[in-house]
Amino acid sequence: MTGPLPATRAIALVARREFRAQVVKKSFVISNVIVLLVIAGGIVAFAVFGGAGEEERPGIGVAGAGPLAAAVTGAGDRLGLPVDVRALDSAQAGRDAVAAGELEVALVPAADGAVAIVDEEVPAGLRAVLDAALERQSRDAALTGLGVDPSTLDRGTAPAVLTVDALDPPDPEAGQRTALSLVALFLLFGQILGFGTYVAMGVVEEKSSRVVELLLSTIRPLHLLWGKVIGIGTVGLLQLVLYGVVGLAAGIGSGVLTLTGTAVGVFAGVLGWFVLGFAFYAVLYAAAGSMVSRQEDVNSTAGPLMLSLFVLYGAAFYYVGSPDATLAVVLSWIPPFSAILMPLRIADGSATGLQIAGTVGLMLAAVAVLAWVGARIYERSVLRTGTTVPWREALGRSRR
Amino acid sequence: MTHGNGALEIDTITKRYGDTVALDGVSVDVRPGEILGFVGSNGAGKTTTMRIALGVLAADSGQVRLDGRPVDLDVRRTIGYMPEERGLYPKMKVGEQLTYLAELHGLRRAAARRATARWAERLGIAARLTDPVDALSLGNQQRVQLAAALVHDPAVLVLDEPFSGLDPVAVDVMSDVLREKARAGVPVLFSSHQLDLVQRLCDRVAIIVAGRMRTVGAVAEVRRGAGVRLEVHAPAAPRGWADGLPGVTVDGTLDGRTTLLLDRHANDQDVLAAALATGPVHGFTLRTPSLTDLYREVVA
Ligand SMILES: Nc1ncnc2c1ncn2[C@@H]1O[C@H](COP(=O)(O)OP(=O)(O)OP(=O)(O)O)[C@@H](O)[C@H]1O
Ligand SMILES: [Mg+2]
Repeated sequence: MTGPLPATRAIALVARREFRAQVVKKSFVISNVIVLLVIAGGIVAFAVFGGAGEEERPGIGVAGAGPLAAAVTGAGDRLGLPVDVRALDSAQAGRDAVAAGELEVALVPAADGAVAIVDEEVPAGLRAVLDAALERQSRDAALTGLGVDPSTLDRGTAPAVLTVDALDPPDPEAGQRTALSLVALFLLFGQILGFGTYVAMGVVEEKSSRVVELLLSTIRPLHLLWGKVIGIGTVGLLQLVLYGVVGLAAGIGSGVLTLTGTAVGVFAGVLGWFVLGFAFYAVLYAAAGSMVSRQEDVNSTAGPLMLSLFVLYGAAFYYVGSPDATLAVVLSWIPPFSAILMPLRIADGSATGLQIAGTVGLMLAAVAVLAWVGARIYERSVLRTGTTVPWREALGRSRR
Repeated sequence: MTHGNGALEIDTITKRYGDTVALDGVSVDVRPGEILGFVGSNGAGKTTTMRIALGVLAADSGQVRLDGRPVDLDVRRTIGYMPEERGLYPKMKVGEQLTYLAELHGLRRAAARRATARWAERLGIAARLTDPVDALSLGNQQRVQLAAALVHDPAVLVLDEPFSGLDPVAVDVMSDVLREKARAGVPVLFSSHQLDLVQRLCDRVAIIVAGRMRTVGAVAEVRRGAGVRLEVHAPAAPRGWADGLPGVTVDGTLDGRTTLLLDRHANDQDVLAAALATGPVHGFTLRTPSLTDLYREVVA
């Protein structure tokens, strides 16, 4: 016998159906397996083959005439890493050449060995060459200058010290942070676009198969809308969790990822902002879907949404390029830009707790407004069949 | 329990689409335990009326009540509805779909499963429960659609052309189900273009013409009210022999057979006397018009 149907149960029933309909799709299962393989495989491959480095001969400048230049060339050849050595007029000339990127390293002899002027850090292979060259040079100096028995050499000579003078010392975590940001960006963009589209397609399917008439004779349009958004959104969230867990596990396991804390933080941020960003877009996608009657017409109403997502995507790249620009910082406060920029700011460590709380609040307010607008459009359009409902009419006052 | 103890009242409903008046003050009551056939030409307004009754469409004015109470969502949930344009999720399995729809109508999961099994058995689709709907033939999809209207044990049935596309066996099953529901006290409203079926199945019939309710009444009464048809075979009768008999109109004469239309004031015995006065009478047959004849007249 029929009984009462509280709103929560109506929404839960719809959400459960949507969830199941989504995860049993063969195409969905297959694409997930492929993506997971690509994530895990890509990270492991990066660990194995990554850092193979550049093939070009590194250029090394040596200040002051003397045997050091010859020692460097010799050491490079011996260690299988041939280098181009050129003489420098002064330490300052070396500094300029390094800053301009003409030289990898400028070597300036010092009392206890030499100072290596580099941009960020001495590349790993080159370090060995320089150490070997210094050692050889001090050894030669000992042999020829002092006439010391080579057997006592090791005890007799002061160890040659290579002091590194980096012009722009690197943040050891910067690379990983950038990588994490880009991954977060791709994931958010793909998930919101993909699952938003699923929502629109689901709405159109109900419309084109006319099952919506049966559904709306027993539940409210809003319950159907929210059930669908929640059901499909849950699949999107779980998929994101799966991608994230596999990615983190592969990254940490293979040693590519050492910033475990940051990575987990970024991951959590991405999940949270996916929920907000998806909620923002999903209602709009549902509205767009409700305005058409055939699957092939979806693009005509969902197009503007896709366009706005691409604008977001562009803004995110702008931010990655110049994170300190005022525009980028301002945009990161504005919904829906915050949905994609805030995870990036969390990833690069520039977001304060206050900003996170503030932007989440703004985003929630925006979602509430849009949910109202989207639901209005949906309610008014979902039972109209035939021609596509124009946005203007869908937003205006009319009744079914 | 709202089960079968109230009438479905459609009260002076008007609906306009731009300049077209689709419904103009349409009223009809479906009483508990009766089957009401809703007939009318294409575009007359049957579907519009039913969609308004289900709240899928809003009326411009008028009201729909069940048991005296305006139909809101909670009441609507107790109605079994079969929309004109059949609608089910094409890729969803028949059984899951029926269970889902039963739950959306307020049944708990276990009860929904039991009801699904029961109706699938009854409607002959039990073997197809694990198939997706779009793998079924049109007629079988129709049976699923009927199951979807029945699976929550509704207190009212509103079925838009439930018989279209069914094979004779399915028509019998459907008829039995409707009769059984009516016997249980459920008001049943269905539309159809198969008038012989309506005549056979319905207690009352409502004829709608161009958005206005033309006739509502018991099938037999409506048929009688329209007058009877009399065929007299009097080979020697001259032309115009029946003219002037009160309440009698001559419909046509062919080979000495005259067809007469008799209204309520006519007396068939007077007609017989007049016929005998012309010579021998070989045939004298009284015919109550079928619903189809009647319908043709009403709609013309
Ligand atoms: N969405 C709509 N927009 C404009 N006019 C409509 C719409 N729906 C129905 N109508 C008009 O309303 C009138 C009644 O249509 P309805 O579908 O109720 O007829 P019906 O009796 O069910 O016909 P049929 O026997 O063909 O199913 C028709 O004139 C139809 O053109
Ligand atoms: Mg119709």
